[in-house]
Amino acid sequence: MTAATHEEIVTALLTAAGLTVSPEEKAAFVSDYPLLREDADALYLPELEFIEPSNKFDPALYYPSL
Amino acid sequence: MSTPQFLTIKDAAAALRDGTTTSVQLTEGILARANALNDTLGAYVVITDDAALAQAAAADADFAAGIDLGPLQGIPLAIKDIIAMKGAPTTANSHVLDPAWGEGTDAPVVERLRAAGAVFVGKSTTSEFALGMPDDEKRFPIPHNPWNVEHTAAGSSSGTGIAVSAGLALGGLGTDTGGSVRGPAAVNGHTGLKVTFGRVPKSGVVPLSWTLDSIGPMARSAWDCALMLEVMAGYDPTDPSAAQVAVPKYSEALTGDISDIKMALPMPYFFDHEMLDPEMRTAVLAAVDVMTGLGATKTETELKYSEEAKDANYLILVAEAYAYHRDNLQKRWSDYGRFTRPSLARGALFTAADLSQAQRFRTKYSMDVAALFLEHDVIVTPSAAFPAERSNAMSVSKRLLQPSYTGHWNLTGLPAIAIPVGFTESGLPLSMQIIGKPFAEETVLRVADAYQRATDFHLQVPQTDALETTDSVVMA
Repeated sequence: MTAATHEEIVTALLTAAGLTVSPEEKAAFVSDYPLLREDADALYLPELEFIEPSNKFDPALYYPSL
Repeated sequence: MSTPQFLTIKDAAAALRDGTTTSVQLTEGILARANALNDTLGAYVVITDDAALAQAAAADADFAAGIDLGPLQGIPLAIKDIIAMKGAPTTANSHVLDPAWGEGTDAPVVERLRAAGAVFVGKSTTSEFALGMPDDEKRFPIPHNPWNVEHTAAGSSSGTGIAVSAGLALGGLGTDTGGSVRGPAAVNGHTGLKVTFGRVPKSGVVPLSWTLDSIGPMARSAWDCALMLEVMAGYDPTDPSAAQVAVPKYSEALTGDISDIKMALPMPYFFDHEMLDPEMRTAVLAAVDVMTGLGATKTETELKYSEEAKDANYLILVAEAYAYHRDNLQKRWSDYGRFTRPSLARGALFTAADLSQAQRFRTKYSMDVAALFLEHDVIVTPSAAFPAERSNAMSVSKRLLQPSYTGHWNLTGLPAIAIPVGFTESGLPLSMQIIGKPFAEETVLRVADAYQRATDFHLQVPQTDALETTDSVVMA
């Protein structure tokens, strides 16, 4: 993936988020983005195939009388 | 260590009861130091002199009337400035937070400390919203490490860390989402306990990450943390994550005996990382030797995916923090500190799938850690990869590349204590972390206390005489 592509991705993500950043800040985001992406991608491990997320939802929580 | 401002809470409690001192005398001494040193150290956003002295007088009156509310009665504490406290504003060290946030209320944890007779010295400095770094472009105090003011006091509970270290409080509250109790405790040379998720109700605290946040005690010793936690812990219905688990008398578990304790040392990443400071590694392994000398046993082992666990904690943290701050980041970008806003906005660079995957990873890593605990009572690691860095060498980008040893235990929700284990050649504190099973604060406190009975690193205090100024700085 080229640096220009990283810049395009970061630009699109910041725009979608409605964030207006300075050129210096944008440059830092673009510089950091490959490592952030790499760190996130590293979490997609094959061993997690049958693993559920740790967030838990209890529908009964909102029905104290149950 | 005879100076009252450097007493442990345990010893100060004894002194208040045997007539050696009064709470007013103790508090006056603390306030004098806090006001004299705050300009240099930046420990407090606001020092509540009058309210503190009134609380101290009330504590003394109770003693005189034979009323004893327990060991925190009359003890001066610092309250991190993202926690609501009556009589002082909560700023989160930010221009963005509504000045009316939490106004006139005590967070449940503060309410419990108040009911126990504690004295509140003031609201202590935090990294902005418990995430940013000190920013001299904003009006808030810049925290400095009392062992060397050119080095960081770490974050985000910087102020409480400084206050305990420099004798500006005998203990205090921090919050910990990725290491914000343990980091400041480590670099400022005292003890800090990150509690099991849900152990202490976190309502009344400006949230950073709902599934990772915790409130923990910071004090000179493990014993003192036990005394504070006995008051702080317990269910409160205002926090949906608060656990309905009985609160033990933690201090009664501190027997000094750890002959039954089996320690696990996960060597790859936590001890063998190429960026781990050699002095830190040596000091922690020497501390492990002290504990084996006390009868504990150790096993060198492995905890897979610990690099990824650091990243999963970070991803969840910034995703949740970004959700909380999204609207304000859009509308008030420049009102946030220059280090805070890019940290928060990183949450916009991840996808919804990334967050779900991080939560799946969280399950897997928690299972792996639980498996390690089948054969062991505690996991031992360094508290940090380095001693306090030079403040001018820190950056948001650099942090991405550095190892961290604390977020793993927020990810897994486990109790973890940071305790001093020595000093670098240049005089900066070094620290060891002891992690336990869910709600096993008794165990980590017992192990930490046993180590502290055999050593005195936690009782060492920085030389601050040259730092005092005559002008007190009390910011509104």
